[in-house]
Amino acid sequence: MKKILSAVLCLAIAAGLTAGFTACGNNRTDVIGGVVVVNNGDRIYAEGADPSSLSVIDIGFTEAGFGREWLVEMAKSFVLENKEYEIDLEGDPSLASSLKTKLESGKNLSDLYFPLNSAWENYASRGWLEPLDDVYSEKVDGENGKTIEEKTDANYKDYARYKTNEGSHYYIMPWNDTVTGIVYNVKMFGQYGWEIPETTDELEELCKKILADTNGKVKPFAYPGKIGGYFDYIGMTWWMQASGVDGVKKFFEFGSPEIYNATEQPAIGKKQALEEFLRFYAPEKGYCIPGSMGKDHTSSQMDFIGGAAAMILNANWLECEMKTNMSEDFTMGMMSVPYISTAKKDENGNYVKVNYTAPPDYIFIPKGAANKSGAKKFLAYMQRDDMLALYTKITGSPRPFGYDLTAIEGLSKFNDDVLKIRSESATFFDYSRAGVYMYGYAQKYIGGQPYSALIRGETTPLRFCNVEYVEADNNWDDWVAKSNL
Amino acid sequence: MINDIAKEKRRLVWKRRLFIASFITVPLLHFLIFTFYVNVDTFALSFQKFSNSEGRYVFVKFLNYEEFFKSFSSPGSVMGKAIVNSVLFFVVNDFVILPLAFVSAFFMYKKMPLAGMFRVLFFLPSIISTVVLTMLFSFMFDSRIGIVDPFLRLIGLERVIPILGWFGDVKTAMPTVLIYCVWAGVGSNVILISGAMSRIPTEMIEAGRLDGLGIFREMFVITLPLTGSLMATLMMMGVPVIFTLFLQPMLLTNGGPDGATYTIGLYIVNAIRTEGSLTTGATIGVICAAVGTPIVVLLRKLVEKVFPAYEY
Repeated sequence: MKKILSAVLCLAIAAGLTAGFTACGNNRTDVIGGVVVVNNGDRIYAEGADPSSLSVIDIGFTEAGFGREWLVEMAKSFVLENKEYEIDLEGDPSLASSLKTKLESGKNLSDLYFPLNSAWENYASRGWLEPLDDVYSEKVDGENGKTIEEKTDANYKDYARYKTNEGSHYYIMPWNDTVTGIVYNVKMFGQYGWEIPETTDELEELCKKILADTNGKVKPFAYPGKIGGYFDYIGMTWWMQASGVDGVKKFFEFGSPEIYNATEQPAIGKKQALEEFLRFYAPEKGYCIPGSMGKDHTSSQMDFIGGAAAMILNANWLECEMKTNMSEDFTMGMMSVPYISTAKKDENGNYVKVNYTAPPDYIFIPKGAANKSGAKKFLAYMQRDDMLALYTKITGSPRPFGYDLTAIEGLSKFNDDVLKIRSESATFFDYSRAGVYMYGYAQKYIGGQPYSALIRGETTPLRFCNVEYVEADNNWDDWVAKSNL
Repeated sequence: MINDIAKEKRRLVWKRRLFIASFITVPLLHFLIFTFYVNVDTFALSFQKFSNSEGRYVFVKFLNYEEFFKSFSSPGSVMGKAIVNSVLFFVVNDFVILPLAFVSAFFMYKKMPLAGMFRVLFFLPSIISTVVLTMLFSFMFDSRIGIVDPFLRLIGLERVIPILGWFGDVKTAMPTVLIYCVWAGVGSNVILISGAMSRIPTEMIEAGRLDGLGIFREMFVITLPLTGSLMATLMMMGVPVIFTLFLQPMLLTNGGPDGATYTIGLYIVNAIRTEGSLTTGATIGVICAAVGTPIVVLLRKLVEKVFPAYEY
């Protein structure tokens, strides 16, 4: 009897597993507006086309904060106009970490890649990337329109060009234009009548008010201490406010160790930014959720949308990334980082608006791709005004190209805030072609980010800057020599 | 006739050689490609650096080694902490997890009350993915949704809760990661040691009982020596932990705060994955091999003396 029962149980489990795996293997095919979409983008081609005769463009992309809907919609539009193509999407949340191996092996390469920020210059210098000069020279909005090169934001155009053994070429196309700032709980701000602060003094007043109005139940800030990069969204912006975008750009030229000298610009601005950071994040202030230093971005974002904090340092992808976890009545907004007392003003006495856009994500075509011409055609298609607008409409995020953002309808309050900050601010992201930077000797922060050490009181802004200066001054000549490989 | 026999002999000899060769070829190729080639290539890579201008690796003599040793005194260097932590993981593995697993296995072997339930409880963490397990563990210690902080408040120990979080405070981050390793690491060892204990001849224990052998004496005088060779093997398997353990700190703390939970393995992984520096990874790998090999040899001799193999 026992044996029979065991056999029946085993059969039941086996049947259940088989049914489960069969269900997993099923292809869901939708026909929407004349386009066949298999498994939400595994394959996309025009209805009525013979799939065996199509030219396939395989796209490997980072399926993270912005999801895949935008790419599915662009692909649908593309195959409707170009019925000879099929687009296959392969989403991978950690594409950047496996990319080098894929490119080095040259096997099973996608035709187009969308990784998050990583060292593409290394890939280009190894001859793994296809030059994109011909794509940049295309006029995708008609003969009277601009070329893609003319449409591209100047900062990104410089970043996308690199000199290798093949000469100086465009090797990448920028993907996102990141907008960073302080994201806040709109409903909570409205409920308590809290005002958006313009200066850091006002921000500190707001923090005190939040604690007082909620009896300390709501903390002003949530933050992911486990991933220190988010602190830069406020720290870098304050540095840019204090030293100006040009001052920070000068720093990133890495001309001499004097750039670390905290008695002169641009290092003075860096020190002031770190001092301002401590004003809000020192544990004794009580402005942050306890335990945040050990949290990752998901936990801290959950703290924020769960109402445990009124604000969080984040970027334009937050709403898209968290929409499945947000309740329907939750509304978020983004405010510019408030100005520090030393922030630069223009000739009219107004603060100069700046935004730190963080190291950019990008798009490239591998030299070993099977369908380079198809990939180039789709890449150029993506930069059409209507496709750029479609991207922003779906993701709420801008792309670093000249196109009309005001005509996009149906955006959320958060998206509107993001686009407003982007359109009003001078932007900067950290990159440098100086040898000492590219070989990893001189960095934005020598010895790693200072934020968590500052929070724990292990260092002070002045001491951190002085240690950087001494290290750079002692080793500069050696670094320069070693960077001439 | 004699020629035919000689031919047949030769044919059999060749057949035999072919038979042996067919069995040896696969492991030999495996060794040549995945051990010999990889190690030689790693060694060669440790003397090279990628040149951005030339687009290829160039020979730089001992530059990578020089930079490695110099990195100990650089601001923000985590290498010193990584070495101390890695050794600590080995100590915890060999001198906390293994003894705990041995005692737990012994009580289950002696069929103490609820032994079956404990067997399942101990083994469960071993069959759950490390990613899931570390996430569950992180949630337990989360300041907002975790169960540890409310429990400590309930018993009046609020003052021990770190304001920066269990994984965010330098003083508590490493001990918390070690607690995770003990929690998740005991189970699989319990199963292995239980298996070895179940093979101990019952006559031996019964004979001891007649001579008045108590349960604790049985544990140390019979069970430990007779499972000693397995314990020695498990102890030896703990040595590579010094150079290879990275997943647990990477998932729980990402090496933070400020390198407080870094390990040598995590340093290598980050050098390759985050910074894309194969040459740094190769250099540390060669140094680890040079340091680790004598340690392994010495420890092996030591454990063989402490736990001699008994035939039974």
